[in-house]
Amino acid sequence: MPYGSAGPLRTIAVARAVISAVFYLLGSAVVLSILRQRVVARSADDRGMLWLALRRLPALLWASLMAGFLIAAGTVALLLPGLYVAAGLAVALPVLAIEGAGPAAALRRSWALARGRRLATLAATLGGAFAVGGCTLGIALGTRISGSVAAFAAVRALGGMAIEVLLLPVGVAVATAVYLDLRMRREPEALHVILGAPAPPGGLPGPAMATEH
Amino acid sequence: MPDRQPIDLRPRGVAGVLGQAVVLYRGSLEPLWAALIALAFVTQALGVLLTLATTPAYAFVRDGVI
Repeated sequence: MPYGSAGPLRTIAVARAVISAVFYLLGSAVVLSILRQRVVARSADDRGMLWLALRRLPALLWASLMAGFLIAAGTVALLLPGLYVAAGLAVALPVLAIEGAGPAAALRRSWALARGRRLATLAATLGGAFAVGGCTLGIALGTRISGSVAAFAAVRALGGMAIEVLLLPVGVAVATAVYLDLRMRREPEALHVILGAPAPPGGLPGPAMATEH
Repeated sequence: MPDRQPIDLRPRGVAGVLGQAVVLYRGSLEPLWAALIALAFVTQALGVLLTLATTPAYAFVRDGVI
């Protein structure tokens, strides 16, 4: 059987991709709940947080699927439309978790928040993506060993665990930081209410409202 | 859960946003460990079982072709 063209390997790759997708969905729900707890005043305790993560799972799935479809459609059209859409939808998941919006409403809200700040939003998002991608590549290359299949599987699993545990929260943290920045610029008063933070003396910082495209 | 540190509420540039992301990441990682490790353990264990169940497809590993 020639290497790399075997049908079983393709099936295994699909099965692994499905398993990874389920992990990323569940993991993202948990990370978003933790970040929500960290950001939002009057947040739930640990048990309430996990319950919230499970309750938001269907909305997270739909928002991820819709955003993925729109970004893929834009990327297929040409790369630039895909990047434009990706910037517009970059904060949909934090909106979903922190504002409790539904999937479609989260996408619309993200689009509106990023208006006029798409380039900066894209730069921050890509910065996080490159950091995650570089580390993932490094770990993946560092865990390629030949010899016994069992050792190969074990080392690859360790590398996979490191990627999943350490790197999954990075993308969500970047999206949440971008979300906070966009809201700070557009709706500083509302953000202070959400955070339960007192307004600074001398008033709130003036929002550098971006011009609409 | 450690006490929440106040979040800096100032509009910031791209580097500042990434810095804020690092603060959020570091602050949230500790309560995440248990849940993420449990989830990752399950998914990676499934991956190992899948690999071991299809060992013949991984002949390239045995033959050192990676």
